[in-house]
Amino acid sequence: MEKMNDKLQKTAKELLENKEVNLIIGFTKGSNPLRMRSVFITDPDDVSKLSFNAHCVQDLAVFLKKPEVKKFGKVGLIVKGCDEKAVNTLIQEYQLSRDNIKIIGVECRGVVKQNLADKGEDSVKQSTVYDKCLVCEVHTPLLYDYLVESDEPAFEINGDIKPYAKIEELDAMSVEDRNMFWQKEFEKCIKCYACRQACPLCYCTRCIVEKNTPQWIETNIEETGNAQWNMIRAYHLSGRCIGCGECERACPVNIPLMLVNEKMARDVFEKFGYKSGVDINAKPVFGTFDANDFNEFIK
Amino acid sequence: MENNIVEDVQNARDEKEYSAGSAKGEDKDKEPRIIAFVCNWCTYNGADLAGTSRMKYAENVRVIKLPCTGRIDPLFVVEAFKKGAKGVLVSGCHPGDCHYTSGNYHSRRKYTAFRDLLSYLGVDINRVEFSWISASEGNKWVSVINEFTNKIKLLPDNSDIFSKK
Amino acid sequence: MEEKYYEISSDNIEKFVNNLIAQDDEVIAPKDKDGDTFYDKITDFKDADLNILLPKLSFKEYLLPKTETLFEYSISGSNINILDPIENIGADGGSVNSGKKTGKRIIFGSRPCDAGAGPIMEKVFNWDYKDEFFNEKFKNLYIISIACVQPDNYCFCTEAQLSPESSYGSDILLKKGGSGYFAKVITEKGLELINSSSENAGLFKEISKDAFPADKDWKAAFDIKKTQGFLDKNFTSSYFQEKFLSCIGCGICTYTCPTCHCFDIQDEGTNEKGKRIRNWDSCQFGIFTLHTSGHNPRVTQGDRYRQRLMHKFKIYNEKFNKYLCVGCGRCSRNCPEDIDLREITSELSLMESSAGD
Repeated sequence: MEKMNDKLQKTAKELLENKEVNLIIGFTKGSNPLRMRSVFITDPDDVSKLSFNAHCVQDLAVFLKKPEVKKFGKVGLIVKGCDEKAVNTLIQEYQLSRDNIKIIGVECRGVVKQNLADKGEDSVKQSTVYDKCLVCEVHTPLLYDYLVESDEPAFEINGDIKPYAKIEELDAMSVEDRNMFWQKEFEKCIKCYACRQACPLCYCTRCIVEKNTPQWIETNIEETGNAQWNMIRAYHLSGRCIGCGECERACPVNIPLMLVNEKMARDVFEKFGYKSGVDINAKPVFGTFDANDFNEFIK
Repeated sequence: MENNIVEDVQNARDEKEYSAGSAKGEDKDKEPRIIAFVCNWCTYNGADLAGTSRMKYAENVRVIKLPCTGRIDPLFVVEAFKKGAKGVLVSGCHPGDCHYTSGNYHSRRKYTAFRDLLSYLGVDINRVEFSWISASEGNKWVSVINEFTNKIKLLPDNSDIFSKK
Repeated sequence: MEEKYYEISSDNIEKFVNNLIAQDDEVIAPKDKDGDTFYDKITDFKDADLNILLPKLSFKEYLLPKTETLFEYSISGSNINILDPIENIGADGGSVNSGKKTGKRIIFGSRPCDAGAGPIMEKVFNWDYKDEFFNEKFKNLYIISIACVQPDNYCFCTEAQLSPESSYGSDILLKKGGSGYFAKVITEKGLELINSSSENAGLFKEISKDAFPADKDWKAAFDIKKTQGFLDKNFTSSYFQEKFLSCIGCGICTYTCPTCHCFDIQDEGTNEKGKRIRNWDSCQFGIFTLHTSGHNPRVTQGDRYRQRLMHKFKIYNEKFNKYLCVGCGRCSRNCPEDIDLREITSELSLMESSAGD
């Protein structure tokens, strides 16, 4: 890790000193030894704060949507492979100019689930990392200006743990049982909208739930309002979600949001052969079409 | 514009003289409501043709006209369900015939994903129908509506997220 | 009321709680749900998870429901019916929670910090307008809390003028020791629970005040008055803007906070029937203060978090001489970006100290 941190700090220092960027967003030590948090660096002398380890769970691309961060102009962003896909999607959707961002990619060997880390878990193995890490195809970011290689070995995957196993289980259920499952999950929702705020791709300045002429989504924090919100959130992210899992991590009542996001990502790939956040030059899947698209459900 | 959609859905629901022959509002709760969101250029004219040709079809349907299927946001479907519709039909021009070149293609993609999502979250997918009906297909409109209505009538009174109140 | 002291064995506390459940009282306790603990209704003492420090959310929703119906209307023809829930309060002492009546509700196994939130919120709901919805629920809420033995790194109840063994806001405070627990009964409501049946009364053995274990000498790590002092003078400090660049405005801090009480009133329904409801809201949302004109007085997340600090440690204190924070540390534990309120309040306190020198 020391070598990684040295290279991170050196890269960040150079970028700041050469005025290539005005701000570096990275990770630093958090409120306890197994928590990391974001840090915003403008002074080259502060780069020693930067570090990276298996507890860097946050997707820092979320800050790119903040008006306060946009004011800085050119930004250097430290990203893991999964988070970097969010940057790609933002560029694809014209929310970010490639010229305004320097991507400092870090090679990631998986991050430890925060709820386990809070209980003292420090080792990276298949039983402690997020499901997204078990299916990760981007340990090295797809796009970067600088790459910081990892000096950690990859963890072993032996198939004992099936990531997102619940999706197949749900698919096999009857529609009534699925309905029961989701109603029970959505019942927990307290509508804090942390799923939206933690999402790097939920960048609307006025979210659909905040529109009240007309009121599309019921505001109540009960069965109906909760279900509508969760449904529309998932719909607005289908074909866009890059699977960083921040919504699920942020959720204070543990709704398994990634089961919806991942399912929609799989469906979109199956029907349209599209994976989000892979290619900055690709058209977003719902921004384009093919004359031979899936047509079977249409009368 | 969006306010109008909500009002239209509301009005379609509130209509007092619901079915000819029955007393005012008597069968209102028994007969399932179906909302059809149709495009201005093809399906609306198809339905119009069915009417001017004096063809008969199930009276459960209420038609709401929009410029193009590309404009029919899945939120409209949610809105219709919220207001008590049992089934929703989205219908527009055949592929290649869109008045705006590609609105129906975009719509097709959106509804492919949206239907998958609905089903995954536990809504019976038979409640949402999608069809291509051109201005000359009055009889197709009749058969689509009749078949859809029959299908909806056979659906159990399930308690999916839109049936709760 | 004069405080009373009792001793009760572990077996008897189990009997006591099960008796309360059998008496048809709604008993809420920390309960395990998918690996995390939340306050939830229990049907047996064994459901309660008393080994954890704090449930993930507070029991605020039993005082201020996530969504609360203020009134309902229905229209048929020229008849307009208004159903006013407040009119339905009283007969059985129940109050209306989204149309459902609630009777006596007992929170068992809360912590002193959570218990302390009740009276703090009560001040807000009664200083001007008397909020009957809140008051009914508060009146019917009986709180049996258990003193903490070991607070964690996010706790700062001592600094927030409570303590891990504080009885403020509790009806009964239990402390581990002896054959099971020592009980301090603070209010008439607490006594009512103990005397709710002769069997229950028999489970508790009255002891003298001296036999009740004394509080440990909890030391505050920093002076919260200094925090307030800093906030008094430094509204425009760049500290807020820099520190809260990392805040994503998710509002988890306010939603999981036992004392945050902002709500938003909304109308929902159709032409035929509907209701006016109030939902939880959060000062961390940009839209919270957005004017119709488009102007927003709290334009950055720094402004918004500063507001949260100001309200908790300055404005509320000026009005009610108490802090709007019980130091439970939930905002820090649950924050996805690891913003730590204990760290912030202590930093502000230190900055004020060094400025004073």
